[in-house]
Amino acid sequence: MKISYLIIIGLATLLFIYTVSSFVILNINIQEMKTSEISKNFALSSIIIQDLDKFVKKRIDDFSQISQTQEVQQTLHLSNQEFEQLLDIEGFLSEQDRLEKEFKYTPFIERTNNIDLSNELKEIIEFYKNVYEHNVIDEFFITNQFGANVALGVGTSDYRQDDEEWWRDTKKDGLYIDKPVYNQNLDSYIIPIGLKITDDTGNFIGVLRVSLNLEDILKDLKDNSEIISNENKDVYLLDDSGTIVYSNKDEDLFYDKYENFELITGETGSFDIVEDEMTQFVTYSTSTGYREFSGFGWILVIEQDELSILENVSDIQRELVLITLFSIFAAVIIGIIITYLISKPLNKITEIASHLSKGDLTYKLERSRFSEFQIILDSFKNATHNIQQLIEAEKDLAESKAKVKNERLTAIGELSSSLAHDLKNPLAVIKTSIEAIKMNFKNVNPQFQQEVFPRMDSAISRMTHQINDVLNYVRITPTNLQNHSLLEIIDFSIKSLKIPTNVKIFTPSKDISVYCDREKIEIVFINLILNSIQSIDETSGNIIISFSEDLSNKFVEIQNDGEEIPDENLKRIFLPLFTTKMKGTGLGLSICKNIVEQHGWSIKVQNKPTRFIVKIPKDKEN
Amino acid sequence: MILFVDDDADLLGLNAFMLKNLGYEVVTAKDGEEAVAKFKESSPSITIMDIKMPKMDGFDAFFRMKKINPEAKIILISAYTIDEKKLLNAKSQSLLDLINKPYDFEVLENIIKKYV
Repeated sequence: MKISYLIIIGLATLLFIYTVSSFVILNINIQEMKTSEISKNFALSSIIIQDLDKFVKKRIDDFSQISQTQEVQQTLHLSNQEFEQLLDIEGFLSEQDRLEKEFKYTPFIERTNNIDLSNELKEIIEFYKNVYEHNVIDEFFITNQFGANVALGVGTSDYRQDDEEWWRDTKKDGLYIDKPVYNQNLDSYIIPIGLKITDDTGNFIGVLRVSLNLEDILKDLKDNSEIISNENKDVYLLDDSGTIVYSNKDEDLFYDKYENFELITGETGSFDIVEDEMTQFVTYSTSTGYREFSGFGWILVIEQDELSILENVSDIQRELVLITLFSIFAAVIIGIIITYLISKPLNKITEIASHLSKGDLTYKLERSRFSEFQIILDSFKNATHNIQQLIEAEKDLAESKAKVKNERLTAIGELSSSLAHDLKNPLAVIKTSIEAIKMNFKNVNPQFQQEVFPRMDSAISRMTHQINDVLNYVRITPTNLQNHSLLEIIDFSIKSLKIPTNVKIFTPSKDISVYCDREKIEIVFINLILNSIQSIDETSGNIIISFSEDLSNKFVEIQNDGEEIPDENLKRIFLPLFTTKMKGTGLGLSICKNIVEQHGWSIKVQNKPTRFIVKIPKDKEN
Repeated sequence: MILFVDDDADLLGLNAFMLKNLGYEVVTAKDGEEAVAKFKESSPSITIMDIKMPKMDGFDAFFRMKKINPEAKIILISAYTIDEKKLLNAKSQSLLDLINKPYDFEVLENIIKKYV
């Protein structure tokens, strides 16, 4: 599987989880929003209905103040006194009522109606109209305690009111509020209100009737509702029977029955209605009055459909979808970029590895901008370097081996010709000797034997020596390694040599043990001691053999006080066939070197004093 | 008088002994330098000389001797390899003969008899 797919899938999964969780959180928020919107509507509805109650109460208070004015009180007092003097009040009222109905005659205007008070009431109406810039009052009159009309501000009214229900209710309850009524004159709805008038001592003295313009009452409510309607909320004002008194949705709904009225229970509450798959949240508050005003019992309903709540949210949802899509796209791009950034160096590394595996160690390693990759590259670099060094070392070793082998072959070639030459002298000696023996066959001259035989012996031993030397040089036989006393080996070597009387050999008193092939090491010491003897020549001299050691090596030194070795010869002294002596084969020291190196030891030569030093590493010990 | 020159002491001694036994007077030398010195000293009737020798080889001693006495009778003995140039040069200066090692003493005897 490609890393790129993994990264893209990983990022996409992450985004998916993010998106899902965002949607979940959004839904939770939507629920929260709904709840908060509903509670907001609750508050709104109760504030609005309370304001309405306050407003109505204020109006009522205004009129009850009017009823307490001295003018009203005095007029009513006089009218009541007048009526009390009548013997048959009922008869009077009935007569007046009949006259009015039959002849459209309004007797009280001339006779009983108080002109001053009526004018006063008219002034009040004008005052309100000026202040509020609309008709606040539609009907305004006052009756005495017997129901007879005493003063008329505006509108027409029966003379007798005591037979009206509202009048009786007002007298009984102190306050009467009727349902809204359409008034043709005003072309608007009015709410008739009756107020009980009492004197200072609380005795019933009359009734004040005023009809308030509904427009006036609802003015603030409408203003508020218009603001509310901007928030996509429908406001309904219902009376206690569920009739729509006001709606900001449609004025034509006036006096229609509110269709969900049966769902309204209790003073406040909320419910959902589903219409055409659209949910509407409905909250309502019932008028509970203000102070002693018990309220109309009207209900303020606020409807809000879910969509309007979710309007902003749906924007967020759309944005969320867009963001998600964009993010997934970005994830793919980022994935591709990361893949490119990672897979490119990875490919590079793979390429490097394949080059290296094919043995192309000179392949150039470019730097990576990622430290992790750089670590890999560095290790490649180190590996390459090490391998290169190893190869170089192997090459050198192989070359030097080849060189050694070549040298040996050359040496063996030279050796053969040298051997052929060197054997000819002793052969010539033997041949001449045989002729001498032939000549003196009958042993006439005894001197022959003395002259000839030792020379034959010498010739044969010389030939043997030559052949042995060559064999020792040419043949590299396996070593038979054991621990041996070095002193013993040296003593044996000395004994096997003919030591001239002019030479004294000193050996160390303290022995050391060496792990070696005894026979081979004997050859080494025989050659080294012989070499020393030959360098001393005919003068008298000493050979001093000594042992020493340091932490890692043992040393054997063979020192002589013979002639110094010329500097140019020091370097060539161990080369095969190199000799300064007529009788030498030029192989002795070469053989020594071969044997010493076969043991893992080393040998060197130094002047002042002339000495050979054999170094025996301790780690070559058993 | 015969001057016998060889660096091999055994061969030198044995040949000297043999020639003496045949009745010749023999002078020996063990290298070229000594040979030239002995040649000057004793003016031998014939010189028998090995080629391969230390200090001065047989050819060089031959040329020195020929300088001293162009009429000198000289025989060279070779063992194996020979410097051909020097040999041709020597032949042009009337080298009597060249004997190869190992030789029959008879051959040596006959050559001596022939020239002396």
